[in-house]
Formats: sequence, structure tokens, C-alpha cells
Amino acid sequence: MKITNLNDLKLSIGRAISLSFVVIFAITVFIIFVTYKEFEYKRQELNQQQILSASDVYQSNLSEQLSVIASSDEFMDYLRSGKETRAQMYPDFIYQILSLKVKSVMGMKISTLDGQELFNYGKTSPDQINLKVCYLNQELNPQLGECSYQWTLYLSRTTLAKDLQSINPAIQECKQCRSVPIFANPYFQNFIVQDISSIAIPIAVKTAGANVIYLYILLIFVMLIILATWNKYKIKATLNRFVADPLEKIGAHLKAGDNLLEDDDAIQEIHYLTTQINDWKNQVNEAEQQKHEAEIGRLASQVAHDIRSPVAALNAVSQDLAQLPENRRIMIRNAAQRINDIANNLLHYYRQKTTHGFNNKIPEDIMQAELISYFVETIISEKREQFSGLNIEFSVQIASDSYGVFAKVNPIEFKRVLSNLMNNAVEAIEQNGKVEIAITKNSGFIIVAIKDNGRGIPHELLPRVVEGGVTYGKKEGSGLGLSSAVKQIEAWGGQFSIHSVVNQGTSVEIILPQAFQPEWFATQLFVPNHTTIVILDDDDNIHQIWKRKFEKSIKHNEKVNIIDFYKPEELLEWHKTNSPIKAIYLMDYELIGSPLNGLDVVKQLDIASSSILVTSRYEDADIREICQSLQMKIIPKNYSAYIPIEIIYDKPTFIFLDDSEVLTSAWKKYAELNGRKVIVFNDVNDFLFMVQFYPTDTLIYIDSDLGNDVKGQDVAKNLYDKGYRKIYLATGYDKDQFPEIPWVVGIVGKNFPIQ
Amino acid sequence: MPIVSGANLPVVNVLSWWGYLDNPQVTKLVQTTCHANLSYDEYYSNAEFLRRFNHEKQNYDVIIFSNTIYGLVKNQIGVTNSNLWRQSDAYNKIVRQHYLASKYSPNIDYFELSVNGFLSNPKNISVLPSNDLTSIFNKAGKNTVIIVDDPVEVAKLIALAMNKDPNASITSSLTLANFVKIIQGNNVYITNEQDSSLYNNPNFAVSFNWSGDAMNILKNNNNSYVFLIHPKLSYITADLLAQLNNKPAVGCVASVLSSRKVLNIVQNQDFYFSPYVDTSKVTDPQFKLIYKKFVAMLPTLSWDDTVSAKEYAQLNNTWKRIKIYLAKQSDS
Repeated sequence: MKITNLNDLKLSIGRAISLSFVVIFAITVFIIFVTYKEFEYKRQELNQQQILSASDVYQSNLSEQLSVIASSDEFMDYLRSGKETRAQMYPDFIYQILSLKVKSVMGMKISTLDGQELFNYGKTSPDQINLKVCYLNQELNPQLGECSYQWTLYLSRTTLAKDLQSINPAIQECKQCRSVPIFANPYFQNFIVQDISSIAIPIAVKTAGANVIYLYILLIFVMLIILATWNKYKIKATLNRFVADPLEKIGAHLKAGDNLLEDDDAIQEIHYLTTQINDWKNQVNEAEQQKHEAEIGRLASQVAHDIRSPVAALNAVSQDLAQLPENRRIMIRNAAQRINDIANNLLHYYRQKTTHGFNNKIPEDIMQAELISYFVETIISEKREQFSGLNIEFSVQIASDSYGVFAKVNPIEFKRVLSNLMNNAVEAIEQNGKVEIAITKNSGFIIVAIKDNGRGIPHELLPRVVEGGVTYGKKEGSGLGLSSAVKQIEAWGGQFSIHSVVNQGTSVEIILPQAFQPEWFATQLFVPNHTTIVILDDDDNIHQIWKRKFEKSIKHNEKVNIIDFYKPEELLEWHKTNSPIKAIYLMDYELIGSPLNGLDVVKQLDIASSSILVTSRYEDADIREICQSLQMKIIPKNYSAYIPIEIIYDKPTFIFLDDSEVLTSAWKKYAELNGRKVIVFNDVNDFLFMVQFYPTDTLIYIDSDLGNDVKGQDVAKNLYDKGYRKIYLATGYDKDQFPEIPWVVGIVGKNFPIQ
Repeated sequence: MPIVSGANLPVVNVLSWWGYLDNPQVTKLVQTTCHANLSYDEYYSNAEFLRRFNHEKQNYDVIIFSNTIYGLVKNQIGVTNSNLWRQSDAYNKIVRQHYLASKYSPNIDYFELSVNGFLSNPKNISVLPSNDLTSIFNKAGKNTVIIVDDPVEVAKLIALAMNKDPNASITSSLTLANFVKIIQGNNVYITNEQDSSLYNNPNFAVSFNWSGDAMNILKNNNNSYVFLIHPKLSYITADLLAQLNNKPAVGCVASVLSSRKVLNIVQNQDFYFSPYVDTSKVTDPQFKLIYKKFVAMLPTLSWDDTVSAKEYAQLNNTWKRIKIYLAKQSDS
């Protein structure tokens, strides 16, 4: 059914209700009719059965009484006597006969079978029963006895009906009723029925329910009509109230150009439904779109991942190409940067379209330690893409000791600040220009400097530009960007500085306090001498990077053994027969062509304590969580070209852990001057990772205050539990301030312990 | 012969075995001879006779009953001046000897004689004169066996079968154990009804009947059965006719009923033998055949015994036990 408008809808519902009513009515009438007919049939059958039962009872009763009489000596003697004796016995015989208490027997006759009448009493009637009386040894026996007499009973139909009624009070004589045959079963127990009249009397069984059923049917009928009518008007009223009337109102108001009555509940509901339906529709479309974009994002991510490794190799190589002319080196570096930008932008696009990026999980009011170099590289890649139509050169310089520096920021806001500052730099350039970004580290701070060679800002306007409300050189600027950035940086505990010279350019600096590296991050790679380095990566470029880095790090008396694996299965197979005591595993995460990833291999081989994950997906929160649970460190893959490698003594005089680089450097220098082999660590995590490569009798000194609320005595307890027994606490505090620490040998000062 | 109207004639009331006086000729002969109307009541067994006689003997003028129970009623039927006994002079010689030996009262005559024997269905059994009682019942197997409903008669049969002393009391012969031993689990019925459908049943094998009943059954079954007067087990029973008062009509009627003329009529009716043993008037050939056998065996056959009231009571008691036993057997 096609409903074209509201009237059609109402008409259709009305027709459907009417049709349903007619169908239900017809079916109900039919059911009632059939039920009534069935009921009537059953009732008549039951009535007939009741009459037959009453007739059987009557017959049985009559037969029983006749049997009693016929079995008496008086009866038998009377029949077997001559006329004289019968005359004498008559009173007694009559007395016997009168014991028959069946009113409908109005008379009787007894005669011999050859016709001699022996007894005659009462009235005759055409309705009669002729019984043969048979005796065997003085007892009635219709089967085996000698039948010499005939007993004729004359019946009164009127009294017979009353007799049946006395048996079943429901039976009543009625002139209009159909005559019902009595004695349908001609059986008289101790007699042979010789002949029986066809007696049918107009009787019926009065059943109380016969009329009540009509009442019930009528009641059901009326109830059905009422119910159907009520339903019809209820549905119609409901439809009018919630659909038709509101739609009519909407139509009327729209026609009249009036506003809809928003206080009308029905209209609000319709509006709500319409909005919901639209929302659902949009959600479905968005889900489809997201699905589609997620597919593209995954592909982009894969491409970016694949590109990053060769770019990292290119960057590493370019650092060593001193023999090439500078313009060639710059060309190679720019080409590598361009490729890196493509990879970064692909990844950026992917993260925007998916929820896998860790940034999406972080609310704007949360601060956490972030790798600053990563954000700078990402933003500059975006800007190169964004302003590719302009003749502006973007360059980034990251100091080797600054690459792995963290600061506590909100990642989203930090990117926004970086982006705004770089936009300002670009907008300050008229035609050709250069934007330079540099990351350096200085005394516990990290400095991000953005410098352009644009028009600059007059000196007198600088304070107002920083405070906000004033823009310079921007057509549609609100003047809020710089001041907002300053407030944000200051909120992170940082500082902002700006220096500008008109027609020369502007430079801004973001100075942020350096944060402790997260546990998962490997700032430096310590490799004990004579260690086996196992590298698993599907990209040969990464293998080459590590090879070159180790070659550069190893001195003449040092040696490491590098074993390369490109497929996890090869490593698994190798590990079955080779399990070096001292080995560091550098494991890639994504391994093309294998169902396993690097973490799967680490788990299978149970080598987490000596493994480092080298991955471009280090920002993936899930991967970080797994690494933290396995107590594994991560090296971002593009950081692998810059990570410092230090080959450390395999048999040191002692190991010293202190968060002060000055002190550890001093101890190290002093040791070298005195021919001692001392290994120093500033980072607890690096220390804990490396200490496992040394025997438990190694002499160890640990600072009591390691910063970031880490206590030296706790680290000492950790070592003690692993079996190390030669542990000293090296502290600037008075030893009396410490309680007894059973797991350390002693508490010493910060002076070099061995002379 | 004047025309006699029965309306105002005196009535002579007779108690008789069933079927003896049914012939209208007898009634008519009584009416014309004695100017009296004959009214007769019938009974089917000695027990029934005794019950009716004991209760209503004052109502009866003449009684016809079995010789076996004569001892139970003889003290109640004495009439001193009756000449009824004179009719015995015309009896068959052997019969008369027996009548005289029995020393009946003068108001008593023989009514009819009977010989009991074995009526058999040749399809199911062959009863030979040489068979003893046990072998006859044995031959019957699971077929129907019918025995006359009379303890005295059965006691006599068992006594003969057991070769008991003829002068000894027969009461000791009829015991439940003896009876059970003889019937050997046969399907046994006890009845005097000759029209019972038992005889029409194809399973009917053999019955021990009075000869008159046997004849009626033979006729009802187209003479398909065989009646054997067994040389050892059959014996003669007599029915007596007693005049109970001296009313003129009664003496006349008693004389007429015990006369050769009437008994010649009656014996063709009920197929018992007249004490006059007159075969010349017998019309039914089958009956005539049996009659001749009876006559031939008359000298050798034993006669029934008259029992005392005590003996009868004892026999009747045993007989009831036997009936109960059979009823139980039938139910199981």
C-alpha cells in the first residue's frame, strides 16, 4: 500500500481497521456457529445417552424386580398348580405380584407357552413386553433352563415417562418433543425377551445450560463488538493525536509562515525523531567514510613506515659524506628531508583518521613527558607541505644530545603552539625566505628556536604583540596567537623569548624544563665489551645503520659480534642452538611477510630483559604499554641514527649510578687517570638494563637520591634480590641519617672510593 | 353317557410329577367316570414335592410321588378303608411281587414305573453295557455330563457302581469324595429338566436319566441319541399314587388315575411304564423299543430303595454340598 499523504494514511488505517473488524467479526460468528452446532450435537447426543441410560436403569430395575418375583416359591408353585390350587394361592400370588414397584406396568398376563392363561391382572395396553420364563432346578435360567411360561407386561406410556423421570429428574415429557424409542436394548437379565412393542415417547432432557449458552454467545458477541469499536476509535484517536494532528499543525504553521509551537509535545517528539533519524543517517555515513579512510590510513602508515628506514639510513650516511661538496651534501640532506616529510605527513594523516595515535588519548589539560624532537620534525614536515607553493626553505637542526630529550607538555597544545609560531614565521616572509628550527639542550632545559628572515617586528611593538590584541604584518590576524602561546608555555613551566629586527627577521625561543625520560625510552645504548648484538629487522637499511654506528663506536681493543636476521623465523631457529650469555637484541616491531611481530618473538624467546624494540611506531600507546609490562626499552627508529652508543667495560672495577652527570663524569675521568675501569650511569633504567650483563660480585656504588623520587636504597634492594652483594650507598648525606640497610655493605660519601 | 358339565362338579386336587396328567383325555375320563373335575399341581423334584406336600397336604386329595421318599410321607397318608390296593392284582407279575413285598398301605398304588439309564450322544461317546460307571465318565472327557437331580437316585447309582450290599443303606455311598472320584473332572450338570438346552449342545456326551425323560429328550433330538438300560447300573424306580381321603370322588379319581386304561394313555404321554406293563397300546416305536428292553430286563433289574427321613436329610445335605462343589468348579 502506498501512502501519499496524511489523508490517505488515515483512510488506509480506517479501512484496515474496518476490514479487520469485519474479518474478526465473520470469523467469530463462524466459530460461534460451529461451536454452537457442535455443542447442540453433543448436547442432543448426551440427552439421548441420558434417556438411554435411564431406560437401561428402568429395564434393569424392572428385570430385577420381575426376577425376584419369578424366583419365589409362591410364583413357581402358582404356575405349576392346577386351577384349584391357583385359586387358593391367588391372594398370596397377588401379594407377590404387587411387590412389583414399577408404576408404568399397568397390567400383566402369565400363560403357558401352549396358550393356557394362568394369571391375568390389571389393564391391557398395546405397549407390552413378552418374556419367556425359564427354570433350571427351581432357578431362573434363560440360557439352560426349561422355558414353559410367558409373562406379558402391559405398559402405560404416560407412567413410563414418569418412571424415567424418577430415575433421571432431568427427563421430562413434552408433547412437542421428538419421540424417543425406549427399550432400544431389549435385555431383561433373567428372562428371554420374546417380543417387545416399539415404544417411543415424547420426552427430552431439560438441560439448564441449553439456554445459558445462548446468553454466553450473545455476551461474547456484544463484548467483541464493543472491543472492536473501542479499538477502532482508540487507534484512530492515537493516530490523530500523535501523528495526524501534529503534522496538520506543522503543515498549517509552515503554510502560514508561523513558527512551530515548540511547547507542543507531539511536535517536539516528531522533531526529535526527525533529528534522530538524520543523526543515525549521518552516523552510518560517517562510519562508512571512516572505514574507507581507515583503510587508506593503514596503507599510508605502511608506506610511511617503509620510507622511514631508508631515510634514516640516508641521514646517517649524509653525515659522513664530508668528501662531497657542500652543495651536494645539502642536496642529499634536502632530498632525505623531503622524503622524511612525506613519511611524516602520511603518518600524520593516518593518525588524524584513526584513534590509534597516542595524542588522541590525551585530554588537553594533561601534561606528560614527550619527545620534543618528534613533534618538531612532524610539524616542520606539515609546514613544508602546507607552504609548498611558497618559496620558503624550512630547515631543522637537532643537536645530537638533544634528540632524545623529553619535556612535560600537553602534546596537542604543544603542536598547536609550534604550528602557530611557524605560521607566524612564514607569514613574516614576503617572497623568498627561510625558516630555521633548532633544538638544543642546556643545563636541564631544552630550547626550541624558530628563526625566520622575514620583515621583523618593530621593537616598540614587541611587548604588545606578546601581550596580545595586536598583529603585525598579518591581514586577518587576531593578535591572540602569540600571547596564547606564551601563556601555554609558561603553564608548562617554560619560558618564551622573542627577538626581532625589522627587515632582518624574528627569532623566538621556547625554553622548557627537561623531563625525565619515560621508562620505555632508551637514551643511550650501553654495550658491554664482547657482547653479541642480535638485530632483527626486515629492512636491510636498518642493519646497515647499526653496523656503521657500531663500527664508529668500537675502539681498537673493543669488540662486539653483530648477527643480522631479516625474518623472525630465522632468529627463532637460530636461538634453538645459540643462546649467548651476553647478548643485546635490537628488535623491529613490524616484520613484513611474517605473522609475528618483534614483541611476539621476544615473548617466545623470553628475552625481554635483554631486548630493545626499535620501531617507528614508538608513539603507539599499546606498544608502549606492552614494552612497559615486559620492562623493555624502545628506540624510535628515526632516532637510531643518532642514539649514542658506548662500549663499556666487560669487567669493570665498579659501577657507579648517579643522576648527576657532572659527578659521574668526574668519577669516570678520575678512574681513567688511575687506570680503573669504571662504568657510570645517570639513568636508573639504563643501569638496571645493563647491570644484568655483569656478575653478581661486581662492586656497585649507588647514589641515595637518584631524582624523580627514586631512592638509591630501593634500587639497591632490587639488586640485592637479584643476587648482588657488593653494594654501597654513595651519598652526600650523613650516614647517621639512614636507618640500617641490610642489603648494602656500607654507606660512603661522594668521593671517588678507590685510591 | 350323560354329558357332564364341569362347572359344578367337585374338584379332586392332585399333586403330581410334572407332565404326568397333561393329557386332556385323562381329565375328561376322570370327569366322565367320577363326575369330578381334576385339578393337578406339578412339581419337578422330590424336594419340591415334600415342600408342597408338607405345607399344603390338607389341600390335596391324591398325590403321585416317588417310591424313594415313601418312608418320609407314609405316616401322613394312611387311609384305612381304601380299596385302591386291589388294582395291583392286575399288575405285571414281577411288579406285583415287588408291590406286595413293599407292604404299602391299601390306599397306595403304583402309578408308573421307570428305569434309569444312560442317554448318550454317539458323536461324543459310546456307552456300552460292559462299561462301569467310572469308565463312562472317563469317556465323556471334557464334554457335558448331566445327572438327575435326586440324591437318592444318585446314591443308588453309586452304590451299584461300588457293588455295595443291596440290603445296606445307600446313604454311605453318596459322599462328595465318591462323587468327585466318579466324575473325574467332567463338565457335570445336575438337573431334571428334559427341555434344557444342555441337551441340544453339541458338547453333550451322556446323562443319567429316568427313562421317560430320556425318551422325551430323544424325541426332541430326532432320536440322534442312544438310551442304554445298563445291566448293572440301571434300576427300577416306582412312582406311587396315594389316596389321601375318603371322599367319594377322591376314591374314584384315584382308582381311575391308577387304572390300566388311564396309565395306557399316560405312558404314551410321559413314556414311563405302566405297572400293568402293557406294551400293546404303546404307539411310539422308540418308546416301544425301550419298553421291550425294560420288560426283558425286568426280572434282573434291581429296584429303588425307600429312605427314611433321616437318611433323606443326610443324602439331601450331601447333595447340596455336591452342588456347591460343582458350582465352584464351574466358576473357576
